[in-house]
Amino acid sequence: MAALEALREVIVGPVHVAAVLPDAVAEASRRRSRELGAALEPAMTRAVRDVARREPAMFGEILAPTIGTAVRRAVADAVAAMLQRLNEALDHSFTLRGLSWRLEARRSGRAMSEIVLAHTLVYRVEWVMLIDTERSLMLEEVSLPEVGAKAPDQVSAMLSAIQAFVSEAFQPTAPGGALRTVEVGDITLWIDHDPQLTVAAAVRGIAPRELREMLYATRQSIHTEHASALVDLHSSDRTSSFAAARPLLEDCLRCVVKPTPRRAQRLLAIVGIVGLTAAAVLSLRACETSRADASLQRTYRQLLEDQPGIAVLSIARDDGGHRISALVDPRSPSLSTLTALTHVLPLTLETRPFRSSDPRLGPPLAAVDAAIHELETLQFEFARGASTVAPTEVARAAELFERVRAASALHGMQPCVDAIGYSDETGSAVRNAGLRAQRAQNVAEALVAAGVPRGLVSSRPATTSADGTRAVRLRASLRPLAHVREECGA
Amino acid sequence: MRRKLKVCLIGATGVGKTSLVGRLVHSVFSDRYRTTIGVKIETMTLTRGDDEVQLVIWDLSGEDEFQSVQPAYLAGAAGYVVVIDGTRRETADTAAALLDRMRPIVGHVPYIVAVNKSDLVASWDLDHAAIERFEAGAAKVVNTSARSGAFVAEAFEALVDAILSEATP
Repeated sequence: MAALEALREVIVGPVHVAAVLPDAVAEASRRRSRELGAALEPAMTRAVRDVARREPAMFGEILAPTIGTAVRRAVADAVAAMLQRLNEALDHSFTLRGLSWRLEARRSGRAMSEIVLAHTLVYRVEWVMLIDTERSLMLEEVSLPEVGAKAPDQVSAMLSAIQAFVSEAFQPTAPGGALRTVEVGDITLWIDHDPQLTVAAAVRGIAPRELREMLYATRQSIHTEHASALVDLHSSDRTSSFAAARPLLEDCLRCVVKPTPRRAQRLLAIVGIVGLTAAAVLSLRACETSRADASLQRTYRQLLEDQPGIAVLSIARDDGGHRISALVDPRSPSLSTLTALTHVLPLTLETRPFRSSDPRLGPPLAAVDAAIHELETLQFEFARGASTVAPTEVARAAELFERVRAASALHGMQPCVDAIGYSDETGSAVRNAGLRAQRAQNVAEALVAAGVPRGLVSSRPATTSADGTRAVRLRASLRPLAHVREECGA
Repeated sequence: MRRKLKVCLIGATGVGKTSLVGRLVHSVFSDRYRTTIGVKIETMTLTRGDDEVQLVIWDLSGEDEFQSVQPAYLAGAAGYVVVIDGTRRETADTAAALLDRMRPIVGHVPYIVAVNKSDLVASWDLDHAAIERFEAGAAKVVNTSARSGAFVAEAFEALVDAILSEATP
């Protein structure tokens, strides 16, 4: 038993195990690395945690090189982003657009750099390349359809050449000295690389710094998802095994357009609303002006026509005032008053002489007045609801008109006859109004048919049926021969 | 199988590296000399058996007393062409010095030696001894003429064949 124990001590004792342990671990790592890792992980985790707690300074010292590089890179990216914004702000400070942005910044109370960024944050990742870092050979590349890549192998080689040139010529001393950005005009090449793979993106415009993270993530994904292709890559010169990585690269292609159209639409909508409001206000004002003007014209007309021997032909707006065209009997006592008014009010008066039959101007011309009196006494009677004109009355009216015309012609005048239709109050107001108009029109037409010149006859319905007469009466007025057509035909 | 290979041209200044590439890729030759600054890169496709080989050719600036070949340009090369001017003996010495300097950097990859300007027979300045020292290490030593095109394509084909044979397990 003692011998067995001694033998056991020899075989599995610490001395023997210590002697074979390194080789055993190496062999296990080679043959069963996954199982070995799983077996050691709990112990290793616990050990690392204990050391980290017990010796934080030492642990920090161990991690410092890695963390330091990562922090340096993060800080460098942040500073670069800040400088990028600052540079953009400065670039646009003294341009017309810059001035408009400055005004916008003042209006909105936002920082100028924010305004600049908001306006310029438009970029397009046009071309994404996956490059074998060591051999600078293009492994795969994708581009936007409208761009189209040119000579990709020369591009990838030249990229490497530029990096070699910078390194050789300027001997950078900072660690990880590799080309990360190339800027020419509005194109920037963003480059993310490790000793095996390089991912480069050609960006037009100003891309956010997140793009660098995206390139990094893409490169890591390719390492993870295409590990076998990477092994194969360095065991031969084949380069076609990365076609499967195209979707990862295509994810980096993008075209970010600032939402100008939406803003423009909003602006257009605002302009439209303002325009419509302005138009409505102007239109309202125009309506009010028009109404006020019509009211004033009515007042002028009423005032003038109340005067004996004055007949208004027209009133119209003229250069801030009104132009009144009127027929004035030279006997009218209001003529001098009217003339004086034109000096006080914004009025322009155009007068033409005529002979008025107004009794306020004194006794009428006997023959003419007598004929007019007879003509105006004549009445065309109608049956209830009828508008047919009796021929006998028409003939009499035509004869009387001819007498008036002959008499007035001796004085350089000519009569105009206005047929005014009346109706009783039986029936609806609408029907009666139509009846009055129809009766007046029929009489006027009958007179024309009987020989009265059409230009000297007019017709109109009476405004009411208050007097209960079913008739048409004639009203005659004298006008100078030259103006009869204009007045009566109106 | 489709392959891509990076190959470099090195040699003294004015030996005709750019002219060789111009003859190979564009089938042209120009008497006008323009020195290469840095590197020029061209691509072309060769068919070797079942393989279609895309060559990415790095035409490096020449080595002289004012400038030297940048080793970084040679990193990752599958092979290279060392060019010598047959009318200038000293370019063979430059080539030998370059080889000594570059081999630790690029490793043991195949290379050929192109003794260029073979059309200038009257001005030939090289004897067998000057060339002999390259024959042991080079996959091939070829007399080429960028002017006439003689053996230019053959030189590059020989380099590609050497690379492919090394790559084949």
